[in-house]
Amino acid sequence: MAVYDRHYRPYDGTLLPERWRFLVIPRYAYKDVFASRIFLGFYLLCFLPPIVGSLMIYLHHNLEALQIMGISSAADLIEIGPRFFEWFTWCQSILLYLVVLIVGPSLISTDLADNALPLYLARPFSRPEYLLGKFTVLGLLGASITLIPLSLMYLLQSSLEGGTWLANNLAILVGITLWPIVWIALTGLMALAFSAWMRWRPVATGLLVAVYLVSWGLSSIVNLLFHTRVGDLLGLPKLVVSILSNIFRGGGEGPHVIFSWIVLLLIALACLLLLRSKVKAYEVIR
Amino acid sequence: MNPIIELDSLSVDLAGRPILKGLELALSGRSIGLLGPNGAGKTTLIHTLLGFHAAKTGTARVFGLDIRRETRKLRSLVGYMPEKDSFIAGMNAVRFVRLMAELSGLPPRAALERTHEALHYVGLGEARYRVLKSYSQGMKQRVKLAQALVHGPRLLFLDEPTNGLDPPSRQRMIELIHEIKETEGIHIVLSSHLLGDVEETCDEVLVLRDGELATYCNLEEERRSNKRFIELETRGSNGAFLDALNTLGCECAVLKGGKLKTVLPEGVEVRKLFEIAGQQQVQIRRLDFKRDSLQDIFLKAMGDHNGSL
Repeated sequence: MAVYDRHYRPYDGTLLPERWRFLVIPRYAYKDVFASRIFLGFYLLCFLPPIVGSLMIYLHHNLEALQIMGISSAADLIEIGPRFFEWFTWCQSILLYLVVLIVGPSLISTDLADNALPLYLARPFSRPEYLLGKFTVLGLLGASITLIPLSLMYLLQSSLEGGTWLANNLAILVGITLWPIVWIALTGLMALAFSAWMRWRPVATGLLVAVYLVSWGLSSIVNLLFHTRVGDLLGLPKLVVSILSNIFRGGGEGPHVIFSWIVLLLIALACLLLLRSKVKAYEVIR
Repeated sequence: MNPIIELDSLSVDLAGRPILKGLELALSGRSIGLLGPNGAGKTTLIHTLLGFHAAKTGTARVFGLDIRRETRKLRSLVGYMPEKDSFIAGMNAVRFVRLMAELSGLPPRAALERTHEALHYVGLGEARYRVLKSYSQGMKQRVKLAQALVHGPRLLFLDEPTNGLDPPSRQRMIELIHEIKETEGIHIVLSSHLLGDVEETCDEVLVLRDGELATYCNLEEERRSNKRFIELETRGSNGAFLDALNTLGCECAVLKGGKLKTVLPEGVEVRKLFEIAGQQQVQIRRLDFKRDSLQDIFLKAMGDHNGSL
């Protein structure tokens, strides 16, 4: 029907399958996110560490290149092992947090501020689908700067070093896949929960910054005052370091790793509860 | 005719307060008006039908679909225009309405085509690429209507659609609702506290008071029956005129000041009264149809709580 023919008509065409409908949200969100050149520049910058890491792996296996650079043996370079991958995983985790900090706080807060949730939820589109759609925005971005480049680095090293290295370093494989998934889930949930809770982007962003920096400071103060390491459980950065060192090297300083995992789990549960109570078509005022 | 909405002892509590109290009714009209003072439960009823609030007891069905068990299927058949401003501020109207269409399941191309049609239909064709936050109140109301229509629903919930509109915008909105109502296969539920809006657009009216059904009225039947009630003011001797009217089958009553009240039987037209008056040498100086307006019905319902008119 031509647009000038102003008559209402019902829709009788085909409909998209319901199970993939949540992907509409990230498709629209990415158009907004990547419209900002500053963000695009920062996002591209996030690939710099994995590129540098890949170059280092390559140099380890290219004697000619090493000689050109004046390095006599690969042994003079940083060892490509668990610590190497741990460092890059930590680095990408920090970058992911920054990406979440930029993108996450506006995801739900704008919908709540503009009262848009009733419009989403009056359609054949549930609350879990809405949250899944919003989470996917962060999840795909997160995977693209952690899981995928780290896996590619691991594949590059395995292909150059051979099957023995691969078999001897399966813990690295676990680390570069398991940890990014956990970190994406945790940071994504935190960003969405704060976004839904605060309803105002700057405050939600501030809260995310505070969770990282203030908790770090707080944990240091507790450790200093009470001459203990229990304070590490209160600081998100220290929890990350503790878990990463445990995954990659089997050891780890500070609190017992199980407690660190429990704290992360509790944070995730608190975020889910917050989302459950805040993401509603209408909030009933008591 | 199959009922569109069936309320089956529906009760809803919000924050521990009873908002809807045992509503029991079946509605089958093309356009159904929900009337009631503020806080009567109109919006809560719409939200409950959309599945936003859980029923405490009882249930409701829309097109035979239970609001508790078949919410998703039900929502694919309805469009909702909320009372408050609801949009995504950073988007332009095309992007916003298209997003809503895609969330309803339309493929991207079809969603875009329907979006342009819907925005032209509601009169926002020229302004459709403007950012929503720059829209006037009237434009915001129209874009809300466009997003409610874009996926081609069978039932449209309009919650206070003329809120905050100036007279020309209100008139345009009423015209739009009229046009939609005339379209085959679509029903409208319009909630409003403005009697005029409901009177102009609805066939059936449900009046709520304190969460209870104050009255139900079929406006179409009411309008038809009102045309049979006539008030006359005459000059001359009424005796013979009354006899002639009685012979015709009219029920008559004489009011103060010589006024007459009569009910025309089926098949008798008003012209016949003038003919009889001419024959009986009586002048008809005034003739009024009974106007039991919606306002009368509403006020009666608010005063008399037993549900009868």
